[in-house]
Amino acid sequence: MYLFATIAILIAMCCAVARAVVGPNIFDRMLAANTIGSLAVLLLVCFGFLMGRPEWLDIALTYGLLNTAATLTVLKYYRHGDLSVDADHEKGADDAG
Amino acid sequence: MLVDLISGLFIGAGGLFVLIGALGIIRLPDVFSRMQSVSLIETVGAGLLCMGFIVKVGFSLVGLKLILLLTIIFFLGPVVTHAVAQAALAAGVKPLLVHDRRSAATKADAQPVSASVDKIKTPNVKASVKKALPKSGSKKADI
Repeated sequence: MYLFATIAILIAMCCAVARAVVGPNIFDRMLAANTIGSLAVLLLVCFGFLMGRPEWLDIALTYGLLNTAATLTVLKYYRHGDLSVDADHEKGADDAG
Repeated sequence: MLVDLISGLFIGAGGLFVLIGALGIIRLPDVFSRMQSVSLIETVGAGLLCMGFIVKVGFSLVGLKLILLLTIIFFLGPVVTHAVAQAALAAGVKPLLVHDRRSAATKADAQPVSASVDKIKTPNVKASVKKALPKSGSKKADI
């Protein structure tokens, strides 16, 4: 059953890579990249159990956190064109006076 | 024996949901509808897989790490999906399947803009692999 889950995750990663290559928008590519990252975390867990070494979970934890931070950073760059922009301050500038 | 059976059921169901989500990533027509299948992978697929492994290892350090990993994926995946949707809407990507059911009078407003819809439609995979790459450069500069 570990083998089935590992193969399913690998097939899903192939589909996500195809979408990242084909996808017409930049947002399709970002979504596919984030999916590849999440599937890589699951693949690390499954492969660790398949090989009998669950210590790989530490790598999976680190990878999950890094994946989320990277995706949010690129999306913020594409939305505002600047990484140092303060979106909350920008929105409530009139209220704050 | 029973533990193996239950964890095998959970892991098999998780692999099945991951496959269904992958099918949705390939087949669905729009970035907003593809988000739905991505969140299927990230909540149900990851949840069932991690649940199966937790049942397998029981209460131990590995189980605690699995619970932590499940929490991270379960809560940060929808956050990222929401951020993608917000950035796509802010960049002017129109939802392809927009359908306003509130009244028939506003039906004309709810029609999607046809010019941008033609661009977003699902491309033929074989034909547009080479075509999509130079197009992305101009699109990036556009945004």
